Amino acid sequence: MTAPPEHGLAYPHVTDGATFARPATFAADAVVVGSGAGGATAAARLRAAGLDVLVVEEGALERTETFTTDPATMLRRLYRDAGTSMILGRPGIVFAEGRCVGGSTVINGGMSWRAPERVLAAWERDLGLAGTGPRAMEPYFAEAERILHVEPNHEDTFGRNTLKFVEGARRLGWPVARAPRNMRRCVGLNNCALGCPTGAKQSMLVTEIPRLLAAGGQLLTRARVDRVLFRGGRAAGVRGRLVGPGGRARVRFTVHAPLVVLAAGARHTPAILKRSWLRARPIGRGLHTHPNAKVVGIFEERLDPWIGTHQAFHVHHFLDEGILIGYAAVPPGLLAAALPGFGAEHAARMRLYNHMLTAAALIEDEGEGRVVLGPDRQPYMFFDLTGRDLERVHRGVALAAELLFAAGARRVLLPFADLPELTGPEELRRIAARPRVARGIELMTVHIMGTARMAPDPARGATDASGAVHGVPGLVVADASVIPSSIGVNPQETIVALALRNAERWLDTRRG
Amino acid sequence: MALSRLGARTLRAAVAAIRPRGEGFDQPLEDHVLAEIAAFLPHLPGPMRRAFPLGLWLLELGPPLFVRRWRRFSRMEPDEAQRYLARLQEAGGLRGALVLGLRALVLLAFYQHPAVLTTLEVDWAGRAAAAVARRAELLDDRPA
Repeated sequence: MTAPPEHGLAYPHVTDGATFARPATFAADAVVVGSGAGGATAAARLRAAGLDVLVVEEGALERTETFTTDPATMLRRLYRDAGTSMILGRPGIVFAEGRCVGGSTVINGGMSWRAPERVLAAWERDLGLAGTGPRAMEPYFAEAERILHVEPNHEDTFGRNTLKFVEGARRLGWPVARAPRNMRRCVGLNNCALGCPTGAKQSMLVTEIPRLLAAGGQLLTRARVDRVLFRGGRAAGVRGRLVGPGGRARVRFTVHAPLVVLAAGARHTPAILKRSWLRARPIGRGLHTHPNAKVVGIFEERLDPWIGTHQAFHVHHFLDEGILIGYAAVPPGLLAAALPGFGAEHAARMRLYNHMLTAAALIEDEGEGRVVLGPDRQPYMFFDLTGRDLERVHRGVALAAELLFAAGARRVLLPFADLPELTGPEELRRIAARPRVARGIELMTVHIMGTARMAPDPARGATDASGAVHGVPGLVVADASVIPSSIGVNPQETIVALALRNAERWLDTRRG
Repeated sequence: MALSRLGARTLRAAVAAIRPRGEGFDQPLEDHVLAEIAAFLPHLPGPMRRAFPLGLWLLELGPPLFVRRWRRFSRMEPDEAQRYLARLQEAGGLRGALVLGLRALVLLAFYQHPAVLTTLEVDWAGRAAAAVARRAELLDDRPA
């Protein structure tokens, strides 16, 4: 074999929306809006049950064999807004999501954690969502892990940054968790966030989407959905615009289908609901962001962070406090933006790129934000950290910095504009002493959720316990929007498991 | 997305002020950085794309207003321009966001240039080719 099997995958039954010069109309038993973790999973299940399924994806079909390691190119090809979206609030949070066939599963780190049992138990016990507790969800997580091909990284892929991270945690007596990841024989290229050129990451692009298409499902790419269509109080399809290669809207398209599955992500799914004149108050509310703060350690020795696998370990020791600590190799051009300074000052820092280990503290947020439609009918996200969230950010940054110093870092760069650097562990107390203000904290996220959350009571959530939109037969949601609370870990596997669970219920409803 | 002459001049001055210098990072890459920024602009969110020319105008004519210097940004020496940008960044709000955005665009284009990656001793692209072949071999060796 000269190329991995993912390079030769067949994608039959794909229609490129950019090729249409006139308005187009399609029909199916079910239309699925979005091809990421939730959309692709739901589509494959519905097709397996015999439904005629059409998946509508705003991005293009970008094949594995065309992926490169150049961030500027891949950000433009695979990310919405080339990765420059923002969540507005105190502080502003940089947000990135995929816009391509496979959605954010193409550009995520491949972390495949189950939602913690305490979270699932709370959904069932406190939120009244029957069948979402740990025992009930077990078979769906197991099936998600089979679909995603979850396995731990092979030791021959560990880079020096991985070994340093583990060393730091062990010196502090913190247990490390071997991260389960959706991959098939990863070789540690560490290009996950720009698309995996080796095909090892088992994203929806190389798993459920090809399976769906091979089973006769259809995929329409470069098609942006504006709104849901209704007939007699039921969902009856979707309408939108086909877009050109540059992402500019061109001609109109319509899909007629008695089952509409929205899986456009926690930002765009509520926007589609709102543009469809659904006025339920919970739509767009309950936004959780799972923000992460970068902490960069600079070491005496070379670490060559770009060699070796992505996040083979996490520290879950502080998960009950709502803090997860990980690490990642960030390409020079992207890490550079996170380091302070201009000109020569910046150059002096970046010269040490091969001596850096980038850790991150991910925070289980308590605050709830909103997605609202702007005057241009596009979704804008608003979120403020609560006092408790701010406390967690500071605690998480302090823990990550402590780990880096324990691993031997000489200096640690922090995500605080007013406290950019520590030169030794004795300075860790400066983090504790920093005023708990949001201003000047640099955060980013790729894990938003909760904006069409499941709740038995229509006043508390946009969807019911099966992800069906309250009061609108034939309209369901299958992405991170339905997650009813912050889960504190990477959400990919939970999205897949909930899509599997909920698809069963939609099919039961359809059968009557 | 075409910029006005004023916008283009301001952007060039911003690139000159932000781009790294010294430490082996003196490659003449201004034109490359400007071309990469031009390729990026159409992909920005609509409001950001529309506000970008206005932001450049503010940057160019802002020194009297923000730092009490009676000089246009594009006529400042690089050191002075850097201090001006740092002040805007510290101010936060829209001014800070403008500088952060410009920094991100300039630094992304600069540090991912092959000549700069060579200086950094990073060969991610070379590893990619080897990794693709290596994985194909490993999968071949797996028992059926």
